[in-house]
Amino acid sequence: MNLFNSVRIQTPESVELEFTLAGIGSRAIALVIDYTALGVALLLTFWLWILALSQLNQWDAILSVDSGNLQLWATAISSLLAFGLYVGYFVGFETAWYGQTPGKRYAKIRVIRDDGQPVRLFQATLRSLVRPVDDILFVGFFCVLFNPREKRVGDWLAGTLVVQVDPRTAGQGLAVSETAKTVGSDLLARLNYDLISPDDFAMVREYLQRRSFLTEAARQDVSLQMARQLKANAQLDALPAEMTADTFLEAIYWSYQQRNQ
Amino acid sequence: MTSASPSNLGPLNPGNVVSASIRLYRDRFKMYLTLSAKAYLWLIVPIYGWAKYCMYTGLMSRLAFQELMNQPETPREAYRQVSPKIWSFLGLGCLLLLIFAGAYLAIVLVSLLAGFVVGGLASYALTAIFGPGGGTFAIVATTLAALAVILLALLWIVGRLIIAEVPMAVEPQVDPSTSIGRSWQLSKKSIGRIQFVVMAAYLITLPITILMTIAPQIAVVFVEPGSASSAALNLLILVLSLAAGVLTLPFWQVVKGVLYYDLRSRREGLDLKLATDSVVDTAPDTLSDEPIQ
Repeated sequence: MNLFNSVRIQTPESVELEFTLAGIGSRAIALVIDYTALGVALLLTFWLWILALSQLNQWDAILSVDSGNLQLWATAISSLLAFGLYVGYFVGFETAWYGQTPGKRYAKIRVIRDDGQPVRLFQATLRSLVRPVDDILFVGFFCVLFNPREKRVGDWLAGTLVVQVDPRTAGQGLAVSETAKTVGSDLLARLNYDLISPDDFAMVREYLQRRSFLTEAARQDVSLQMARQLKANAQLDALPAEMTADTFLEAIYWSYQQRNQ
Repeated sequence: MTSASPSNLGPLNPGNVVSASIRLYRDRFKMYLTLSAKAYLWLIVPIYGWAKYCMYTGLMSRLAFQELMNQPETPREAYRQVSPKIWSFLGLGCLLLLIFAGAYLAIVLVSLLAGFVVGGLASYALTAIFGPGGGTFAIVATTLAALAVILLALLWIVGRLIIAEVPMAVEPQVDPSTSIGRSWQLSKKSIGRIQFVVMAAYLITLPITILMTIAPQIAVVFVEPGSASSAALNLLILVLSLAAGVLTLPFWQVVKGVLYYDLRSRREGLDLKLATDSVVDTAPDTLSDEPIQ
């Protein structure tokens, strides 16, 4: 079952890259966050402008300058600021953050060029300029929904794709207790690691990464089930000492890492 | 290999919950639409029909969940599983209605009172410092803040109870209060992510809602009231809004099914199973059952 669209990109060096496309959900979330941030910034600018106008009125006598002139300046500066924010937000972030904005960063997505390279100022500007067209009557929404490459009009023109940032991490910083390390060194001598598939090791790592989110009951169930199966698969008759399933799994993970170093 | 091969999808980020729901709904569009139409038709019949409606909504979520578990069911098979619980579904619906109504009243009342107190004080203070402009700003800001608090509190409570009917549709022997409790427990550490899921899902239904229900309402302005064309337009509005409901209901139910899968993966490690899940080691071993830490 393929829940998410993906694209294959052939680089000039004949390297094939596969990307999972962002999906309408992540793009919607990124949009909400970015528009909220932008909206707040614009409101703040508007409020500062109003405040400046009302304050400048009273400064007439103090500064001995024509307040109408000053108000004109305030208006000009805040209009410029608002325009800069509106255009610059997406262009600035997408250029500086290699295709990400705060919203896209939260949603774990990124804009790339059709050939897999990071976006530059040109593409980011084009995407941003066409944004109003995509927003009118949900043109962009329907394009992303029905197009297999999930391109809105701005993406077509700029030659860009929006893809997911690979979430898988190598499992660094996993806490392994000292007890588990002792057990692990013992296992290194006794365990036939060929009897345990790499997928199973990956699953052990996955469990160790996610165990803090599990409910207490689920954590016990899952770890015990896993530990029993690993023990059976590896044809271990007995363990060196009585231990919790968590310690055993940590030991397996740690010793496997040691063995491959 | 057992037939019940575990799914390896695992937890999804909020955006992917919504994207996956769209995909599941689109792939089985006719099936879900038929179920949704049936659910809406049953609404005409009082009490028994309403129970049927609640049951069909749960059934749609169940179908989505089972598909993610790689154990897809036909609507007929799923129906056989959920139909004995039809009255429990109605009970659950009533219970949820009461909870939401109570929570809504409490939230609005508290925010109104707090808004008056805070807004009054702030406007008094800011008027003293900045003049009348400051006071206006204080009132506007407090009103906006109070509205935001009401909205956030409502979203929070909806988020905690959003999948309330799914445990009953999926798990055996679950009564209404247990099902609500399951939703509360599963959503505990994920409320922020659920808010984003709800927001994104809402945003995606927005084009349909606007094009099918709000746009025709605008047309009313241009039609002479009381004329034949006005009556026809009213009928059209009714039909269109019903159609929009039939179209969006399965989407929300699929989202709930996917969310239930996501939360159970996160909180209960639904997907955390070894690929070689066939050996059952019954021999006594030295792995203790003691609580961990």
